[in-house]
Amino acid sequence: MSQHEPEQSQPTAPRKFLRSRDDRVLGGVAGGLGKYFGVDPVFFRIGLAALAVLGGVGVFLYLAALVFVPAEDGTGAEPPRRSRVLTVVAAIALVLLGGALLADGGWGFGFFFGPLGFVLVLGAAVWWLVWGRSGGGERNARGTLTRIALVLLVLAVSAALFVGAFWTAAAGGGVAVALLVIAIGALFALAAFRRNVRWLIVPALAITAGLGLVAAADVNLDGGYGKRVYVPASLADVREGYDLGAGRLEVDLRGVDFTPGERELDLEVGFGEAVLVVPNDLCVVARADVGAGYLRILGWDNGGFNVGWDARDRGREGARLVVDAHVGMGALQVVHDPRDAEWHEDRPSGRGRWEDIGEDDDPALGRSAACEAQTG
Amino acid sequence: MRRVDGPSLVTGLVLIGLGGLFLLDRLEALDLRFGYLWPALLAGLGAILLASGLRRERP
Repeated sequence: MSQHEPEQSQPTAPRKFLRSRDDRVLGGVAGGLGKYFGVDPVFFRIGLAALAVLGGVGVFLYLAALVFVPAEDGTGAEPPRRSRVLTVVAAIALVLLGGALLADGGWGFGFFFGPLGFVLVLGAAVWWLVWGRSGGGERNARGTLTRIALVLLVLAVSAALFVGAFWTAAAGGGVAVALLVIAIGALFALAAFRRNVRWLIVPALAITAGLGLVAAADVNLDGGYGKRVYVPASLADVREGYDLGAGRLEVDLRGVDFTPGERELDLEVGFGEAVLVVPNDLCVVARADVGAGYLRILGWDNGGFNVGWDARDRGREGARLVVDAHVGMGALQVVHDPRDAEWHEDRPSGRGRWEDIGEDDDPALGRSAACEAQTG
Repeated sequence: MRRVDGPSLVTGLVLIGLGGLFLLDRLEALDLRFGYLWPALLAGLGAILLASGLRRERP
């Protein structure tokens, strides 16, 4: 439809950053960047995908490029200008989105944009893996809708496989799932010589990721499900260990009169929350770790992946409780007052949190104050 | 005979590698942590994406 002559063959034509028409997965941004810089667009795709997953900046940058960078029309001619109103509205929307991202440090904001961005990135990955190379072909609205439906179906199946692999591995079938992943890998390698099985890549990776989560966080679902509260009245009632597969485990030892000597207590929750309430005058030495989540031990807390604390044994006399605790995914809290273990809903962004307490260089980390009295 | 599909082949090799790693963890031969898992997963994804991108270069 253009009235201009093709200019691509002219060596003196100025190099402009335009969204690629022929080399596109979504909007041709990476294709255009690749053409502009003369490198393989796959590097920009990887970079944008990584930035999208790690904080969401990639999605923001991509949307900005979609709005502000014109698309080439295949003739090399100057692209038509966009509507100014549309540009201004899109710019305001992007500023708001960017501000929300910055204010909350990434994908955490709301419970909508995070999962939505994740689904978009994964969907784009499926689309690109399956149709990336045939993207230059003729497309119509119906074909595009069919592809979107197929991508959503693949994502839904992948999500189900992820959850299934996670629960199976966490319930003790980890070895079986690992062998399954290896077998799927071997099938992929063999199938690669016969046919295109790329649409199976994301479902296969979903199974692998579910297993990987269990392996890295050490999630163990032995011990049942639900809410368990134990309030032993005497030392004889205190078990050696308390296990829960998934749910909330609460052990309140405030009513127990501990006799001098060392007593060990194991605590394990696969998925959920463990709260141990200990008396003020008891020396408690905690060795604890959380695969993924939040850990609070007597005036010190931390969150993230594989957080742990291994307290040095300081108590010499009197009663001592040595706690060995592990939570796969969730929260582990050792407190003197159960109210300290409550969820606080006071953050401006609306996302709750536990109280932020303690300093990392506190020499009494992981021990109750009563232990310091013993050593003193 | 069809040409080998690079991304599928690399995915197979990545899955075998990761599956082996997780098998060792489940058998308690090693203790996998997130600090090692994320780089391993990203490296695997990167290999698959690279294979997808490089194939285009062939005539």
